[in-house]
Amino acid sequence: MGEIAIRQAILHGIVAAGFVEALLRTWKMGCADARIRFWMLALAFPLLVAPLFLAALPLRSTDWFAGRWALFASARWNAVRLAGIGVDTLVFAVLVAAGLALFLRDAVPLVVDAWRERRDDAGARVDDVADLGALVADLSHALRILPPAVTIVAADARVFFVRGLLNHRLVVSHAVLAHLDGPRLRAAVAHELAHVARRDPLAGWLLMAARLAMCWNPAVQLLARAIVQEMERRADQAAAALTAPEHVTEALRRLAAPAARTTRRSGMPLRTLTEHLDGAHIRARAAALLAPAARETSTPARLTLAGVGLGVLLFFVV
Amino acid sequence: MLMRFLAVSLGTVALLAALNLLPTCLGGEPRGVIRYPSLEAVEARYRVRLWAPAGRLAGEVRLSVGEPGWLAFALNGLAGGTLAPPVVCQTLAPATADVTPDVQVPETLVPGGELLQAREWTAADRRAQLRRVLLADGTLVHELWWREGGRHVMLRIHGDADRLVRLFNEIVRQVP
Repeated sequence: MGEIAIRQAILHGIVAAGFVEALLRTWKMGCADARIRFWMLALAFPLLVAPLFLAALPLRSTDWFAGRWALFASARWNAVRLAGIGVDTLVFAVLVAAGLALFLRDAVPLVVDAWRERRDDAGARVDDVADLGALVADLSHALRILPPAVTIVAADARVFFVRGLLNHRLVVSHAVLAHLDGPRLRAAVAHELAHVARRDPLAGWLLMAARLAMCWNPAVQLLARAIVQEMERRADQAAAALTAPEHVTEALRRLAAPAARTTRRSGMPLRTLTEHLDGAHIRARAAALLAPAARETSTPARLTLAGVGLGVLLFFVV
Repeated sequence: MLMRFLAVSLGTVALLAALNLLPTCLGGEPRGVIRYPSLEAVEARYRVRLWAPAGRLAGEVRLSVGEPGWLAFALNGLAGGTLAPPVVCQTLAPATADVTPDVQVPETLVPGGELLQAREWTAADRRAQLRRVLLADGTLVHELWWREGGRHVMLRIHGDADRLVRLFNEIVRQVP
């Protein structure tokens, strides 16, 4: 990928993310489903639209367009120098470094977890425990999905995630079972099954692939993270609808207790109940759960408007 | 819904436009002027041969976009005392018209002034025009205008016109 393409993808990602965030705030869109669609739209611009503009509209890459027609031409900032280096070049270097740092921050633990998981596969393991299996079957029926198989791992760490893109398997550690009693366990299982019902594991891996493809793009990294956060919120809401919000928040709190976070395990590049949970995160998710439900708004019309608006806007950003 | 969308859109447009204008306020280039690090960079991008005395480029090349597209660059090694360095300007695209007093370099590249005198001048088989121009700040400059490879070329020098001829000879020696 050429330097111009990389610059455009970063610039378009930043503008798209800012524009969509402003729209979500202005339109007061709190529904997780709608927010995911809007973030996906923003993500499409650096991933798909920016390369399309470059390939199909070479006119935009000319000096004439940058000098006369562009609403914003980043190259103009190279005329301003800091320590002998153009500001555009400096900012570009900083953004690429930030993108790589954001990517590695999430990718390295994922690789480490995958390695640990393979190593631990040789450890003690009991499959398809009857009690948990019945709970999973009951909740799967409520969510209208096929119940995934259950694997219980003999581990002290609180491990709780769904593995598999198409054939799912719920992986739970003894430590989780020891710390979550009936209603809390039901809420936690409902959360993970809600991910299965919405095909979040597949979406999570696709997002990770997008992040890998644009590992240097900080906007893509942040947008993908925002989508994952909304997926978590959506799963929390689904679990709360099947159980009770206070059970979900209590399950989150128990699994995030400092003594519990002995290791981070993940079967997919999504935050599961047991990973990436700090106090602020838990409070935010609990507050979102206990807040009045966001009103569903006419998303398709707004999404179309946002897409067309962004397309026109970014045509003039080079 | 639509009003809020328009508000966000206009806000974004205003922000981007302000960021686009800020470099000019911070001592950068006016809108419509692009900087290139070297003559080679311009030649590679536009696939043209630029006329310049060998090894005398000082600083960057500034390009004013549009038709025919003028570019300007300063030369070192020829400034006398505190005088500003000579400047070479030339079009990127072939110019259809001969050099007349109407032909001007955009003021975004070099400051304009009052034409005091223009006379024809011939050297190295080229018909050129020698101009004396009084700039707005009271500086007197000499300019030599001619066509090279179908494109307009202008040399501007502060002070003595003799150095203009020397520079002209250096440039035309580069023409194959």
